[in-house]
Amino acid sequence: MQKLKGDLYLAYRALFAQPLRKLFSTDERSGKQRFLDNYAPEGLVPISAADRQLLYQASRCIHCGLCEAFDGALPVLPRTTYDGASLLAICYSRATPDLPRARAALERLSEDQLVRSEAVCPTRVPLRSLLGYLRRQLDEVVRQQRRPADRVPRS
Amino acid sequence: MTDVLVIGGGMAGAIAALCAKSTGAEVILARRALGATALSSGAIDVATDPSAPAGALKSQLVPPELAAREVARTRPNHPYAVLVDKLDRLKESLSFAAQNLPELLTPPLDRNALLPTPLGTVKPTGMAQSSHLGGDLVSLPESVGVVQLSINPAYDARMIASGLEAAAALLGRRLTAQVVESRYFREVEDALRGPYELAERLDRPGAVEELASDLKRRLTDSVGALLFPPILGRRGTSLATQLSGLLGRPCAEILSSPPSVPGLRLQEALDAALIRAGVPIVESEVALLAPDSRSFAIQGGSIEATAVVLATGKFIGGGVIRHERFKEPIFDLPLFAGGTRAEDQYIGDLLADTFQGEHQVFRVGVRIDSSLHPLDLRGQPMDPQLFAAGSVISGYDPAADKTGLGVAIFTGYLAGEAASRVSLAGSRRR
Repeated sequence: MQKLKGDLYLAYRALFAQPLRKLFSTDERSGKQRFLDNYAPEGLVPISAADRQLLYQASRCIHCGLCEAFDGALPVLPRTTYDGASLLAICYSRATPDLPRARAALERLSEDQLVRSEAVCPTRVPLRSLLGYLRRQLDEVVRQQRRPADRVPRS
Repeated sequence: MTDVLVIGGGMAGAIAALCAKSTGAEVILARRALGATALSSGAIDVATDPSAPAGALKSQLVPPELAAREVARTRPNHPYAVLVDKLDRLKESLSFAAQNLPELLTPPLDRNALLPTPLGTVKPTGMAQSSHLGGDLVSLPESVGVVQLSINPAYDARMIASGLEAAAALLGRRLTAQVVESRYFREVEDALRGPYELAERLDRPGAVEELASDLKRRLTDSVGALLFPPILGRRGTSLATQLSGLLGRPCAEILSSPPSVPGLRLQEALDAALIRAGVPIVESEVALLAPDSRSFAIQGGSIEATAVVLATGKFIGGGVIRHERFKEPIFDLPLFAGGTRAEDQYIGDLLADTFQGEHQVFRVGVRIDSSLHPLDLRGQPMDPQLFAAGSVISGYDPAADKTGLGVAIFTGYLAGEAASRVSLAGSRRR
């Protein structure tokens, strides 16, 4: 019975409510654009197919900690700024809305400092590529968050 | 062109390379990264008696070779069973490992030592790092202190102390263990440091003396021995000896869980031994250039080997991978689990219902004959000049069976020797 009710409701939305709404709406934006306008300022920005592949590789991290034994940044960056290379794979890459909190670490890390960490990683997480991806995503999140609020129509 | 190419640089690969080199072969070791050896507890678990009831610690105080024979008798797929005719050389292989890592490992023990783990249990161990051996439950004095670093809540000295008392009771001996808190690490950032960093800090000049003086203030005379978290030096095991001298009582490290300073110490000692022996270590993915050949793409070039030792490990090392199906990625060798083909098995069918159960998935690997040749589906050697060593071999779970590094050393030693023999025979024929 619940399924039937659900299906009927979806049919009503698809056949009546949405077409009528589209007919009388003054919002010219596509559904995708409206989605981006809603979520991008919160940090949920689009990810390319290549970057999705990179995230798949990042998911191989088993948090064994070996990268941190050879992490060139740990001895030089304050611990309150950066807490080890595995964070790139198991933390920063998992939630773009939180990327601005990692800004200090991402700005001060260099690829050179991750060379040895990447070489010893048992599951071959591409730490340096991940750093590049996270920086690109951070730029995008910041750009989206700086968009004027009046560009996003309020319903 | 080289006589022997060893693929994999953990315990099995390193011992195979060292053994082949010691018998006169030209050896190259190629590995893609560090593997399970660097994540190990740091102790060499050779064998425990599988027929002993759980918790019967006294039954584990047997010579490791005897326990290995019992494993061979009761587990027909285990590498010890496949190589049962060669088991009388187990101690020889362990001695070879100890001789090559003299700065780290003790000689093989006459009986299993019971070494404390960070989980409050004890682990039967056939060979150990010298910094661990003082923690043997059998030889610990009646009163023991377990050091708790004030900044390290992940390491629970109270649990270890109560676990030790319970294990001692199972042995029928009296032991009291108390927590001794150290405030040596007291900077705010110390709380965020991982074990590798803490170990490196203890390697700094004067650090161990400061740690000892901090502990002296908190120790009572009744504490006969001290057990430390496994961070006593990133580079070697001398800090335990130094602390023993400074504190006037035996000091030892507890075994480690990953991330493991003793495990990394073991790996780095193997690397140092390879360099001392003149074995080049190439860090690269390895790919077979053509089927039925021994030519490999490696680090942008190619290499041909007369004999090959496959010591690529299991899931962590990359010797067995699983993307929808299980696969041995270099030679595409047939894989087995529990005596049956594994490639297309549903992973759920290879897992036991309980955590403590026998998970066949961790036994997936290549099947070998008594000469360590990987076998094809008809049970024939794939290639008389290809050998397998370590956890890429099927039939045992390196962690749960408590035979992990013991099998790695034993099979690495035999495979290295056999690969050297066939390659040198081939050279002579040429």
